[in-house]
Amino acid sequence: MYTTNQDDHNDLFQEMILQLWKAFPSFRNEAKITTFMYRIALNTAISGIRKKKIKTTELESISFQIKETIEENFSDELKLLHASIEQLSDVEKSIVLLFLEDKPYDEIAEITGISANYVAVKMNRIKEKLRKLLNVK
Amino acid sequence: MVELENLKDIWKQHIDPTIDKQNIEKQEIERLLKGRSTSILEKLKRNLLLEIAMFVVCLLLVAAVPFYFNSTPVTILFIAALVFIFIPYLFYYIKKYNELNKFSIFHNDIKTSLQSLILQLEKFLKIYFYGSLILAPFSVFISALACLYEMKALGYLLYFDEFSKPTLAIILSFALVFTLLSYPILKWYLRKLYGQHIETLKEYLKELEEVE
Repeated sequence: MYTTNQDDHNDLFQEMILQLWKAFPSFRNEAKITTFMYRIALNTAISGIRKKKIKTTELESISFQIKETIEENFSDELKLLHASIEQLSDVEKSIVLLFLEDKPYDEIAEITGISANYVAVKMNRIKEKLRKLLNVK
Repeated sequence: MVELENLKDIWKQHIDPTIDKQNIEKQEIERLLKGRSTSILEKLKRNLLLEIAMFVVCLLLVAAVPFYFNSTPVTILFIAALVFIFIPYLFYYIKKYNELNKFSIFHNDIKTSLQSLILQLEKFLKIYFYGSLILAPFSVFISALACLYEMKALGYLLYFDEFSKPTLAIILSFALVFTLLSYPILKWYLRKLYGQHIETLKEYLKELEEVE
């Protein structure tokens, strides 16, 4: 979701593993281990310097960036979902990812640092955005 | 048309099983952990280490100068430069490096992490920018004076009295012009290195902070 090619994907994955490894001694059981891990992974994805993305507003052109494996193995619905999420901002991507992972709003709030109410507002906006994007196709 | 209510189901059906299949081996994790970090903090730390190394080289060069010049004013000038400019800068950079080593943002929530990271980046850039700008005229002034002294020792520019008021004024003006010229270059360089990234991080933070 945060990368557009395999090299960037591998770099980001490596960085997440590195940051998880470094941060693990600071884990104090104050939050669930999954919350802790999501925080690290999403912080790494959002705060990292990445190569410039090709900016485009056309859903069709975005769909070309979907990985070959997804093209080959996954359904049209998933391809469409993936292409639509690509259009969101990095912050929105993190919220929608947590939503798709079935995280309750309280936990999304704990990971993102915004209130649960605001997560709900934000999620509604994202849903609206995705609805429009999905309907374009 | 894909119904939004079905998004989770689509995700679970297709993505979750794939993630389960991608369990990585211990050796693969070891390989990944040996890799070079590309995080912004690591980049800052690497740049700071480079700065510290450059400062140590400059410090050694400046410290060596009085051994080659027998003139008392030149010796005093270089000792003063060491004590008042180079050593404090070096200590500051080492302090900053230690701070960055202890600084960890990744286990905080995204909003707090972004706030801390932006604050740290802006603080670093501000001090780096003004530090370099202050250091530039001193470095140019001392270097120009040393060059002039050396040229005279080699038999050139004998008509110059390097410690006369007009000569010092010319060197000082040259140092100030150099500083003025370095201002936009330094600004461009820092913006190229980190500035655009800070803007992006600020946009994300704004997005998290915006309230209906």
